[in-house]
Amino acid sequence: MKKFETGFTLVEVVIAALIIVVITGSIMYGVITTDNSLRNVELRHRAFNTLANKMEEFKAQVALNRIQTSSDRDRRVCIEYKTIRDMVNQTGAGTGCRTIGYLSHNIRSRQTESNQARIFDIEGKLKYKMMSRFGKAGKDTVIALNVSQLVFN
Amino acid sequence: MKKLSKGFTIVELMISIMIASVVVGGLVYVVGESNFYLRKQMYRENVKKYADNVLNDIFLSAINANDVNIDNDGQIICGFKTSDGSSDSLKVYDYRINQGILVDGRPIEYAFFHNKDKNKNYYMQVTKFKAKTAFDGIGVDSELRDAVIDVFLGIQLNYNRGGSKVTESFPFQKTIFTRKAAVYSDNN
Repeated sequence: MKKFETGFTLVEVVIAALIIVVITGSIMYGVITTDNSLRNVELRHRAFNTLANKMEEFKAQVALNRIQTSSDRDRRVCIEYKTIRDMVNQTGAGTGCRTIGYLSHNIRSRQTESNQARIFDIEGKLKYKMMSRFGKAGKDTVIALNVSQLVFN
Repeated sequence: MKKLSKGFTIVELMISIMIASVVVGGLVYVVGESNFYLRKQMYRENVKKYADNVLNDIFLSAINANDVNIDNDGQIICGFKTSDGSSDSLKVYDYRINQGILVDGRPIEYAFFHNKDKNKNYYMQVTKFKAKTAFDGIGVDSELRDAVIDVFLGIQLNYNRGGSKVTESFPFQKTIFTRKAAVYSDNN
């Protein structure tokens, strides 16, 4: 019973404080990690939609035989706009853009034996930066889509 | 032994109540924040789901239509023809701020729009619905210009946090290669 009368020692108080700090730190780390994971999922979704939209444009160019550039590398595109107005006005990778990506594409004609149709392979890649744990731009991530477009002669 | 049998002093009691209050208050705050965070994510997810469903519906209609008319009033009209070329039916996409995207005047069946009347906690509003040609520059071939359209959809999410109202805007875009020819009528 002597201990109750004398109170806690400094070592005990420091250990208790350390345990509280570790627990609080773990909770904070978990919250930040979850938040960034969700943000990365959203960015991936946006990046996929942007790439799918660009692939539609390439498919149209190929199908109508109006290919503007058969290959391009790291062209700046906007993955995420700040407002719908910026998106409609297509402010590109300027001030209205929240997240920038870099689009590469390659359109190749495939060798076929048919005289009636041609097949084009379209490769598209979009590079963007994922969020790091502390909300800053982290490592590069690349998503890719490959489609084939049939063109009748 | 003497101290324990005497019980606690008022100062000890006050300090322990204060510490307990801080701990409980912190827990209540964390639980409240987590609950709000989860609700917010659910609202956002519902907005995205709605936009995806609407844009996919428009995509499927546009790629199968014989012609697609778009104008600056936010209307997309998909025309369908029979095999002999005569006009068969139309599908008109329009919007109302508090009703969402309408197809032939009715809400799209499998896209659930959380409007102001149904939901007191949160609701969506359509701030923009517009389509325009994707290739708009000078010197762009007219066939290419008419064949690819961009559909834009802006949704505003409104919800309450405590006593205050929170508003978030979500822009969506879908590029559609209409396969056939789209007709662009600029009303400006």
